[in-house]
Order: sequence, then structure tokens, then C-alpha cells
Amino acid sequence: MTVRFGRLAAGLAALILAGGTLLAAGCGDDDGSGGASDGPGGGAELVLADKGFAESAIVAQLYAVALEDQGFETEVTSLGSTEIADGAIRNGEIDLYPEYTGTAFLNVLGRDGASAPAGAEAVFEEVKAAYAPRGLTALPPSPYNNGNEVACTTDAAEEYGLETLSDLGEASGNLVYSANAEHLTRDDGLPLLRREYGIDFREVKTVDISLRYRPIEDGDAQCVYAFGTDPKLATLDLVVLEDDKGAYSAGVPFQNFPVVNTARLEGLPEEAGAALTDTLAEVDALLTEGEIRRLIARVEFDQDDPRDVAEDFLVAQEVVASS
Amino acid sequence: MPEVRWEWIADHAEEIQTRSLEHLILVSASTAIGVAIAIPIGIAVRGRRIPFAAATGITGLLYTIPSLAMFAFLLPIFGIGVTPAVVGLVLYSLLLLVRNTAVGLESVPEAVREASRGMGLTPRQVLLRVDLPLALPAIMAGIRLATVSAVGIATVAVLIGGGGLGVLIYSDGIQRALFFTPIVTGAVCATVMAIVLDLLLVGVERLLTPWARARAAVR
Amino acid sequence: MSLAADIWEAFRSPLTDGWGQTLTHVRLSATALGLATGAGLALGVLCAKIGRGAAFLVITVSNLGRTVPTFALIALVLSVASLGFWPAVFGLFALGVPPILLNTYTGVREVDPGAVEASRGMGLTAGQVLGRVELPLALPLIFAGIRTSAVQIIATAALVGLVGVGGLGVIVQSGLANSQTEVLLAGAIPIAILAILAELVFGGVQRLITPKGLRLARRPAR
Repeated sequence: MTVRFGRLAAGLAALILAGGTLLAAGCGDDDGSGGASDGPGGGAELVLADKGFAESAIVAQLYAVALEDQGFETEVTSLGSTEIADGAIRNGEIDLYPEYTGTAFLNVLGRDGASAPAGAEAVFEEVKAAYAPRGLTALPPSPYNNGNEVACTTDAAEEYGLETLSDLGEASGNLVYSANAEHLTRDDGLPLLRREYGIDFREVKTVDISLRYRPIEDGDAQCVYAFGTDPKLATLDLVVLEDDKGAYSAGVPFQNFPVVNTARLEGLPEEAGAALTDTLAEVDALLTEGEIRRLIARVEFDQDDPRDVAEDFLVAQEVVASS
Repeated sequence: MPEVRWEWIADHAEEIQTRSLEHLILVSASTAIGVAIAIPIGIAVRGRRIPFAAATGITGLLYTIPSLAMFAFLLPIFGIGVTPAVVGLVLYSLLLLVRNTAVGLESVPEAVREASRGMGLTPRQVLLRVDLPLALPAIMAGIRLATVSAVGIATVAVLIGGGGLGVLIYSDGIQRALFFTPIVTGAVCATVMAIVLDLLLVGVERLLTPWARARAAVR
Repeated sequence: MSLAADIWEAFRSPLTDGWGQTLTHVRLSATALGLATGAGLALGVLCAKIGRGAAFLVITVSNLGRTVPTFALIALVLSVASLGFWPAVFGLFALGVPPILLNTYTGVREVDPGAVEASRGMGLTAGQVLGRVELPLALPLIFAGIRTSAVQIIATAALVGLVGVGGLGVIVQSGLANSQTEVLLAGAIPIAILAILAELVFGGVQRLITPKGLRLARRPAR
């Protein structure tokens, strides 16, 4: 029987060896795509993240492609939400991700919309100041504003006389809302609508964020959790409700800005650090509402890959050379 | 039937490879750890009614808990990432492995064990040289079941940051408005992986138990 | 015990609608299970009667059911169909059929031929033989299959939260995204309870209807 056991051991050893070889082979070739170390980036490795929806993925890829062109090595990972991204960047799991000033203000910092200073710049400065002691650096934002909105079908708007969010508060018991799971319990999401405007929908259809217009299209919902930059706001028969109390997105602007882990930024050699901030500023300056809408439409309608969309855009804008 | 965009697959070949490898690591690591935990437990509870019932009861309960819930329970303890994914997969593998180990050991004919004791083997030697090798078919059956089951459950690991083929299905597919190509790619890769691993393990079992084949032939 | 109170609050909150989602989850699962049982029984009996030829079909379906990851299957079904209650039910139905089909087929095939012959000899028609002899004898195994499917369906119903039909998985996803442990658990605990309940109830019924003589160490198909 010792022979049998010896064979068992031999068999297991062979299996482990085979597995180990596979692992080694697989691990070896996963280098970052694109540029080598030529450029001010000097091959510094950066881990970027997006928050799991199309626009976020596009911006993250825009950053990644532009930075690679400057000689950085980048990796983009997809995280599930703002909370997760914030936690990850604070403990250094990721180095950089795109956030919104409004989200940072209301959700991450937990501040009251009513207490927001007037003007997008002032809000950004407040966010920047509050982020510094958290170990995070907020870099200048893009021009486009992507507020959280509620949009309803024009039919529903006519039937219930919906023009503002307060109007919705009264009529919401008859209406069905389409949103994603995160929105349901996020402080600046449905809880805020309920609290400030008395909005209490008859039913909420919870779908993945990329599918939130489907219930509208299928006729199963009349209202939807919309972003200011959604291409479908233009193509579907929807009306955006006005934030009359200023507690939702009217009170606070939602500009896209890069968040960087301060320790990582300061740990870079001076040339690389400057290249990082300059490149991000260059990319962000290009993002107007019209441009970002076009990019989102490519991903959401044509199901193009965010990376391809980012590359095409940056090449067309002559930020990076075509490869 | 939505069409498959082959260019997508070609463009993402590297990602598909990476995710497959991640998936394989999740499955093999958890099965290996499961085996390391389950075999001693199986040895300890064999032939003893109440310990056996307790062991299979607890591991059975774990097996019944749906994977999303299980991963949710592990999240506050382990955070997101590979760790809770592996822990969850290990817990799922235990029922099949413990049960099959114990039952396999129990089915060793008493006559054989007595004979080997008669030849002067210590209880430990009996275990290592008689019981375990003879229980090998049952143990391997458990490993096969646990492995195939792990391939399936590991697809959910993406939701807690565990990576694997679920990334193709969820992040690249579902989160891009149910983009069909990566979903089908992930599904096919996972299914193929399950089948290939199952066959591999059958081969390993045949290698390790040539006497079973001989017995089958005689029958 | 403050966490327990938080979890309960999160469950009852009108935002998460814990009771409503539980009801939806049960409706989804029960509908799918009912349909799967019907189809699995019918197909299983049919294949058992056809005999050898159908064995290949049954084995293949059963193997596919075991190896295709349920998450992938659901995603596939939903990407092909529209969003809504019935597409979700169909997906759950698809993964609930194989265990019931396999166990019905096996159970009916393994019925003692002597018992069948005896009842034929007593003058029973084929239909009566099926209804009064074969199915009752196969019932324990069939129930094992239903039990497996029930747990599988309840588990996978947690994953359909992205198609607008709700279910407890939505609450889990909400808590997951916002790192709210109490919300996460407010969704996960009921899911686990439902699955364990199904296992206990069906398992208990299975044990009750298994004649003592048949309670061998036979492994029901899992």
C-alpha cells in the first residue's frame, strides 16, 4: 500500500507543478498596455478606477490613455460605487479616480445641500479643502456639469402637472421610478428626494445603472434617475424636473474632477508629478457637455469599448499621437 | 438571438486570459484549502453517528446559503477582494468533501482493516496506507463535485471585487446594458473550465487508483 | 445588539421595502419552481418511458445544468429577453428543471420491475401504473430533486436584482454599493433564511414520504 500512497503523492505533486507552471506563465506577460517608460512619467505605475458606469469608465480611460502617452504605466479597475472608490483611494488601493464635486460634497463629505457656497468654483474649493486632511488631492474640474436629476415622460408630466420636484412629491404615489440599487439607500439619492420633497413612488424598478432607461422604453416606469449628461434625455420623450428647492442637484454643481491619493502624488519624482497634474488638467479642459455626451452615446448606444472611445477622442483632439 | 461580436473577443483576448487565470486560481486555491480542512474532519467523524451528523449538518447549512448572501456575510469581516471570495468558496466545498471523505472511509471493508492490523500496522499506518487509498474514489468524487461547483459560484465573486470570469459577465456585460458578447464569452469559458477540470480530475483519479479499473474490468 | 436593531430598521425602511422584496422574491421563486416541477416531471416521465434513447438527453441536460454557472445562465437569458418578471422567471425555470428532470427519470426507471409487472397483472392500465405505483415509489427521489431546485432558484433569484423585478438581492446590492453593512445584511439574512427554510421543508417532506425500507445510503442527485 505504500506504493499506492507514493503514487498519490506523486500525482498531487505533478498537479501542483503543472498548476504552478500555468500560473507563472500567465503572470509573466500581463504588462500595462501602451507606452514604455519614455516620457516624464518614467514608467511610474498608476492604478486608476472607475465607478462602474459608462461616463465614469470613459473619463477614467481618458486619463489612462493620456497618462500612458506621457510615459506612465496605468491599470484601470472598475469599482462598484462612490463609497467603495473613496475607501479604496484613501487606503492606497487605487491612486486616481474621477469624482464629481456634488457627490463629494453631499455624499462623501456628508454636507447639507443648503449649506453649499454659491458657484461651482466655491464648491470645488470647499471640496478641495476638505479632501486635503483625508489624504486626498482634488485637481481642477472639467467644465461640464453632470447633476443628478429626475426625468419623467412628457405624458406623465402632462397628466400630473409635473414641472418641479415638489410637484413630483405630490404625484409620486401614482408613478413608477427606474433607478439602480445604489441610489435606493445612498444619502444623496432616493432618501434625499423622500426627505426634502416628500417623494414616495408607488414602485421602484431597480436595474443596473446602464439599464435605467429600459423600463422607460418598455413603458414600465414613468420617471427615471437621470444624469445631466445622459444622451437618452435627448432621444426619448422626457422632461427634466426642476429642482425648485435646490436641495437635489440645483443646489450643488456636479463637475467632474480627478481625485488623487496625496501620498502617491508626492511620492512621484517631480517631473512625473508635474506631468500628472498637467495631463489631467489638459484632458479635463476638453470635456464640455457636448463632447462628453457624444462619448457616452458611443458607449451606451453602440456598445463601443470605453478605451477605444477614449483613444479616438484624444487622437482627434491631438492630445496623444495615434498608434 | 443577439449577435456575437468576434472583434470584441479578439480585442479582449488578454483580458479573457487574465480573468480565466484569476478564476482558475480562485477555484484551485479554495478546493485545495477545502481538502486540507475537510479530510481531517472526515477522518475524525467517520463511523461516529453524532459527529458525522453534526459535521454534515453544519457544512450542509453553509452549502445551502446562497452565494450572494454568503459573500455579503463575509464582507464585514474580510472586506472586498479575493479573500472573502476564497473563504466563501472554501466553506461551500466543505460539505461535499467532508461527507465524501467520511463515507468513503467508512466503506473500507472491515476485513481489510483487520488484516492490516493483524500484519502489525499501527492505527496511523492503517489510515495512511489502507483507509485513505481505498477511500480515494469517494474523496475524488467529492473533489470533482466541489471543483465544478466552485467554478459556478466563483462567477459571483466579481460582485465583491474577487475578479474571475464574472468580470466578463458582469462588468463587461451586464454593466454595459447587457452587452451580449462578453456575457456569452464568460459563460462559455466558465462552462468549458468546469468540464475540463472535471475530466482532468477523472484522469487523476484513474491514475491514482489502477486497482479500481481492474476491478471494473473483472466485473 | 445595536447592529441587529439597525438591520431590522434597514429591512423595514420604505426605501428598501424589505417585506415587499421578500414577497417578490418568494413569488419569483415559487412561480419558477412550480413551472420547473411541472416541466421536469412531465419530461422526466416521458424520457423514462422512451427508455434508452432519452437517457442521453437527460444526462446532457443534467450535466449542462450542473456545469453552466447559474449567474451566467441568468445573464444570458436576460440579455436575450426583455427585462421584467417573466424573463426572470424563465431564467430561473431553466436552471430548476435539470435536477427534477434527472431525478424523475432516474426514479421512475429504477422502480422495481417486479412491482410494475405485478400491478399490470392485476389489470392496471399504463396510466394507473404510473400514477399509483411508479410515481409514488419514485417520489422520494423526485422530492430530492425539487428540494435541490428550490434552493438553487432562491439563490439565483437574488442575482436578478438588475432587471427591474426586485427581490432581496436588490437590498444586498444597495448595501454593497454604499458600504452600509446593516443594509447589506438586511438583504442577505432573509435570503439565507428562505433558502434554509426551503431546504428544511422539502427535506422534511422528502424524509416523511420515504418508506423506511428505501432509506438507504443512496445519494440523491445534487
